[in-house]
Amino acid sequence: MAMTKTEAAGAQEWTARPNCSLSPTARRNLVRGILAASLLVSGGFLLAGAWLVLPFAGLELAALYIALRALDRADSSSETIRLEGDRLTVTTRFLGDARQYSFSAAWARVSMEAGDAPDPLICIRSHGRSCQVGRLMTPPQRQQFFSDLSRRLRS
Amino acid sequence: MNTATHTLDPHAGHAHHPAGLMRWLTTTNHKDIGTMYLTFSLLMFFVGGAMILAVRAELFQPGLQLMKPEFFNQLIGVHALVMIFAALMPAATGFANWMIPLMIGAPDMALPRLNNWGFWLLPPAALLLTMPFILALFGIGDGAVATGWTLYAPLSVQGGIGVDFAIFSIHILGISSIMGSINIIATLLNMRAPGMTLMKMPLFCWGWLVTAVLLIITLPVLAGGVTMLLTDRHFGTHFFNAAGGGDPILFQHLFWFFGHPEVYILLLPVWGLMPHVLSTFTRKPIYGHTAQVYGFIAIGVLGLIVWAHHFMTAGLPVPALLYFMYSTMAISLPLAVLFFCWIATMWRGAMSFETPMLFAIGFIVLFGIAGLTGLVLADVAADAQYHHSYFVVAHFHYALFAGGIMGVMTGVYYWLPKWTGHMYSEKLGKLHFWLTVISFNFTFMPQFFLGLAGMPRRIPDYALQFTEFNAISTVGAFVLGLSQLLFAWNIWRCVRGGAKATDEVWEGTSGLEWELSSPPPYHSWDTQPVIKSGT
Repeated sequence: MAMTKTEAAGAQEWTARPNCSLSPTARRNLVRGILAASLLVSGGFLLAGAWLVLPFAGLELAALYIALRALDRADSSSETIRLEGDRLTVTTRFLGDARQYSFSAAWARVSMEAGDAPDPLICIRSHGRSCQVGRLMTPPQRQQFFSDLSRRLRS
Repeated sequence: MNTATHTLDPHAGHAHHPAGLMRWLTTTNHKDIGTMYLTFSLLMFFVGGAMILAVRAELFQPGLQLMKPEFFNQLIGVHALVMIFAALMPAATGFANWMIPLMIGAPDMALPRLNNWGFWLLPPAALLLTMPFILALFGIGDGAVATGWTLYAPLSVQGGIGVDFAIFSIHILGISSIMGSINIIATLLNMRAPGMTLMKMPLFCWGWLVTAVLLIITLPVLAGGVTMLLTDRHFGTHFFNAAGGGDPILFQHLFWFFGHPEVYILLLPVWGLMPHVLSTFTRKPIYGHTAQVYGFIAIGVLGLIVWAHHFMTAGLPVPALLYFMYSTMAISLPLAVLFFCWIATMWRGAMSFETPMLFAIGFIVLFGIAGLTGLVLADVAADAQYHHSYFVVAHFHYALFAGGIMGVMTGVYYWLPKWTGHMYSEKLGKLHFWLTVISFNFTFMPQFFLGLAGMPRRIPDYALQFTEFNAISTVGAFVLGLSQLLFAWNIWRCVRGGAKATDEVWEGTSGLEWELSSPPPYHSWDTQPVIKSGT
């Protein structure tokens, strides 16, 4: 999990993203490379009269593309927590589903609570509204962020 | 590899997992799936082994003693298909499932559900392959595929229902392999721990990356080929029927365009594993990490362009023969780089000879014989003499048993304490090694001489002059087969209990996988390790 923290002129922002070691450009190049090799092979056999290789190559490349798209969606997930003045804004993005929550920093309370994840998540609540963050953080990152945010909200 | 990791409690709150049958049916955990692949592989290793022991029993003496020639042909064909697709490939995939996430610091494979489906396609495929034997007992059909694993047309166009079963089995096995390959590519490229660049990736992972790409490129060719065979058999097409304007040699091109890279598909994961074992038991870093990576890639690329050396006697034009001879010989160059690196890793090391190291050294020596005899077969003029003889049988068993299966045994002994948390019996392991390596040579070394003397392969009867060497080979085969029971027994004992293995297991290990407990927690690396420096 990749966790970044930025601070600028009275605003702090924490962003958690899943770890992905393959950049989008590298992913595109990978698909292009395998596509080229596969087309070269199946095209050669097409010319030799074995045209049935081509549909199987197509099916396989489609499966590879779908798998990498699924990864793409998972990798674009993020959790952004921004504290600026009196506003605490939480933006979550999971598999294309984006949500935003806004709280008053003066009234917001944070706690570690058991959610649907294996380890306790961080719950932010205020005025009857709540949201959970930390799904994209490792347990130590979550603990660190929890302490950090609690301290900021108290100060 | 210098790493900074956070302490991880293996018995943390989320170490729970489902129990009973449903755990195994529905699991998406890479360790469970790895265990299932390895168990399936061991089972099929014994099934395939039993088939060939029946064949060797028939070949103990000249004449027909135990079976009809048709059944003999079926046993040979199914033995090869079972050993390649249902024993060796699943073993390598089992290693990949167990070890890749641990080695690259990933919590699981990238596509866990796909992983589960990939495994559960295997049992029905194996059933399809062997079912015609059982159906024949009830008078349905004429037995299993009897064409050899190559399914050459026009014999396979005329064959019985065993060919259809084999075609569908190959399709299912192919789908399973594609699922596994996509998953492995996605995992290796996308889920490496921060700081683990591609060139820092362990060599076992590199071996598997090249393997997965080879599978992706070559499997559609096999799938297309066997589908064309199916349509020739049942839908009136004439792809491979010369009488209808087709070309039987086209099938050989299609089959071997897959079949030759398949050899590297079976061996690359083992070649990737060897440097880790050698480095551990010589207490030295791996020599030539980068050179070995480029060696794997070069072998993968060359492996795709040499396929026709398997049928140089089929009447190819002379320029094609020369091209395939030279390109095949060129493979020996990157392979020599690998051998050099393996030996250089051992050079002046503080070596100790635990069972995995014994198997690794046995692998290097015996696989070296496979490589050298392969050079002989690559020679067009010599191949005309040796083709379809027992020389070829001996050569590819030195490649696939000594290179492939002994490599798998190396990996099992090396990683078994990590997987189970217990040490296996060194005494049994060493006994297994010596029995295997001696009986293997008793089985297959005589076959080189039988081939040189002119004994053709795939025949149930032979001339009297070949009797003694066949008898030696058969005795060797039975000792080899029975000694594998020691392997199974040793694994079973280790799974059940034994001396506790430390986290590091061996003295000279390096790599992320050894930083986890033995056995690793059910959910490992939920705290991402970070690679700081070194390779």
